[in-house]
Amino acid sequence: MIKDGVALLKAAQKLDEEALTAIFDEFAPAIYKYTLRLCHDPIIADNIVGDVFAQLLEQFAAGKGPRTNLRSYLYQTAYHLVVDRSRHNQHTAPLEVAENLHDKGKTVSTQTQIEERVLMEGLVTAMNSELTEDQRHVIILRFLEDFSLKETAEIVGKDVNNIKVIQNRGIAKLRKALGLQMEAE
Amino acid sequence: MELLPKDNKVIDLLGQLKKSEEIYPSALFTNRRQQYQKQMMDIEINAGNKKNTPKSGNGNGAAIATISSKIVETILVVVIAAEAGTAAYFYRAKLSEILKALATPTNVQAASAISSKEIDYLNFKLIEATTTPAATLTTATSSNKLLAMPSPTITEKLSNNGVNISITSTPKPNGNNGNHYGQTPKSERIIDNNGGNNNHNSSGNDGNGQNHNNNGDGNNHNGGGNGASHNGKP
Repeated sequence: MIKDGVALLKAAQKLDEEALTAIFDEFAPAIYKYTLRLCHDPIIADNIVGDVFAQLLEQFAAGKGPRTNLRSYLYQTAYHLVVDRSRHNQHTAPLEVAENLHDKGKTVSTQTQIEERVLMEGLVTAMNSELTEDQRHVIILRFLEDFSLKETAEIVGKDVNNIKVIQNRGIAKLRKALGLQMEAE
Repeated sequence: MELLPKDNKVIDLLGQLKKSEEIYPSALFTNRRQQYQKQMMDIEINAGNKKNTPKSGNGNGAAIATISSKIVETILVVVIAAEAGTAAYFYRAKLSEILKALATPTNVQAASAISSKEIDYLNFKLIEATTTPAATLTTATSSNKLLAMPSPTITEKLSNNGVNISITSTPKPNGNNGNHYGQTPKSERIIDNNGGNNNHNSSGNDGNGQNHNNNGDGNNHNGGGNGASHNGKP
């Protein structure tokens, strides 16, 4: 089992079967989760995962592909696929999966947990309705996928300063939306 | 634009959202993994064929297909070359004409604006070509000399069978400049008392070198041929 990231990448470039399988097992669930947060459809998310790894194989077979940061490369590919698909379909479904996940914890009924749950639902709704596409991508990559500013800039294809501006504006929008909700309650 | 302290609440909420594990459904994951492995095998086979085919070619289906495709490609190239050669043989005459036409430079002159010097030159040529010399041949019966006065710039003497042809461009005036306006000498007018009759004075050479002046009878008779001079008196 190849554990070192660099060795894994080098082995995958040589089309080593074990390395390629290890890459899939390690990154496919994360890519699926990221894609599901963006497109909100498990089937589409699964298809995008398939496309991401198919492209990775083609790139390796052509002697191309990532040289250093495999994770950023996979997210970048997924990001472009999601953006292309959303431009074609204009699919804007709510984050039902995330909402369903919160439904799993219905047994918890303390006042604090209820407030947290309301806030989470408001956050998810605000992310879907208030943020622009760029802001949603940046916030997901920065705070849900833990990418750095530089990595996020590489994935989205923008300048680091631009990413900072997009991120802060998105956070401000979310704060405003949650504050309004809390005031309404 | 920096993050504010009040934004920490939003960031905390995002962190909690991150913790919510969304599991890749096992059925989807397994199916996707199988497809991925199949793609991986295809690519490895293709890559292996690329490596092995040129060296071994040992009974593999893909290798055979590659060799046969190369053979077909070679045959096609040979057939195309033969066809081109046959066509060139049949149309060799036309091809040689075309090649000659291509080899020899074309004598097409580009049209350009004519300069003023060229226009002057053309006008000069035109004048020179259109002035036909007004040659007057005078045949002298006694000396067989032909005198011609052609164009004003050419002076030649031709001798042909004892006949001298003298072409003088600018004849010497010899005191007779011809009739020019304002230079013609006025003829002297002779007034005779002939009783109011018409005065007929004809002077000149009648061919015999004699001058006849008939006067007095109202009739002028000229042309006497006896060599006598008559001066109007009977």
